[in-house]
Amino acid sequence: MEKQINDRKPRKIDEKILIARSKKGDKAAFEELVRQFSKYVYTTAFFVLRDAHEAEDVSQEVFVKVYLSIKGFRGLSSFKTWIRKLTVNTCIDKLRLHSKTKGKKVSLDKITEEYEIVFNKFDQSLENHYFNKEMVKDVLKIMVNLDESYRVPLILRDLQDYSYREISELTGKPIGTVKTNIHRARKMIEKKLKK
Amino acid sequence: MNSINKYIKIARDAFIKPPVDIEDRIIDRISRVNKGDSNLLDESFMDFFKKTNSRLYLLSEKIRNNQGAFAALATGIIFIAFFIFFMIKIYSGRGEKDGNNNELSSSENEAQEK
Repeated sequence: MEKQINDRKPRKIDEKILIARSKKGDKAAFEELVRQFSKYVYTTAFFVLRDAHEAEDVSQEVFVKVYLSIKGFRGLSSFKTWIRKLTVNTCIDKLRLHSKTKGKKVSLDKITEEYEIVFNKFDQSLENHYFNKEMVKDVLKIMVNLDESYRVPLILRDLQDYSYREISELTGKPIGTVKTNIHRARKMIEKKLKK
Repeated sequence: MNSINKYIKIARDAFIKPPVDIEDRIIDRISRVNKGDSNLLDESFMDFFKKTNSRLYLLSEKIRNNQGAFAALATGIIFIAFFIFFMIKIYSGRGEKDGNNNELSSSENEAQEK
């Protein structure tokens, strides 16, 4: 079920080189960028939208946008930061415009049955290695099942490193509300884990 | 709550494996990019694109996101500037005083010689 991505993977080409080549129109370099970042984009979109099809649509949309605009990308922030913000913005636009996923809940079991949670790096030296992995999976499952008003701020804050102010601007809610919702979301996770 | 934070920290390195081969689908989609796709680069995207390509905007964002740290840094710089200014003033004042003393002692010497 779980896979450990480790040394077996071929060495990654530096993203700066890939970006420079992509700017010159090298399609192979851009495809390598897709390979390096597609899972990250998909996961971010899935956590925000909780819908596999929408997450796939967003992933494609994000990479088409990147493909069309990469010539003008100055690289003032890292590519990962840039693509992360682009993904989150696209997801928030989707939530605002379609609000298709609003109120839709993924059953707690669905995520383990249909979606594989993969760990990019996981400290093998951790004593309770298996226990920790299972706990992380449980936390993610609970997180995905939270209501949008709790889930989105919590994911942006804890998984995507957004500041409270940025979350407030993105979601259109006051900073106080954002802080309260994140705190409540953490409490909810804690409570559900104890059950 | 600490344990939750610990698991959330680990969760940052986890990702959902897509049910389909998403890489191939994206690559296929890119190979079919046409003029119509430029609609995706709408006002919202262009606004985001301009902002993320602006040093000034990124710096202002950094300051706005770390207001406390920048306030502390600014206070520190002002304090150091005042300290240096104060020290210069003290030393230059002492120098003038020494100069006056030298002048005074030399005039006394002259008087004694006479």
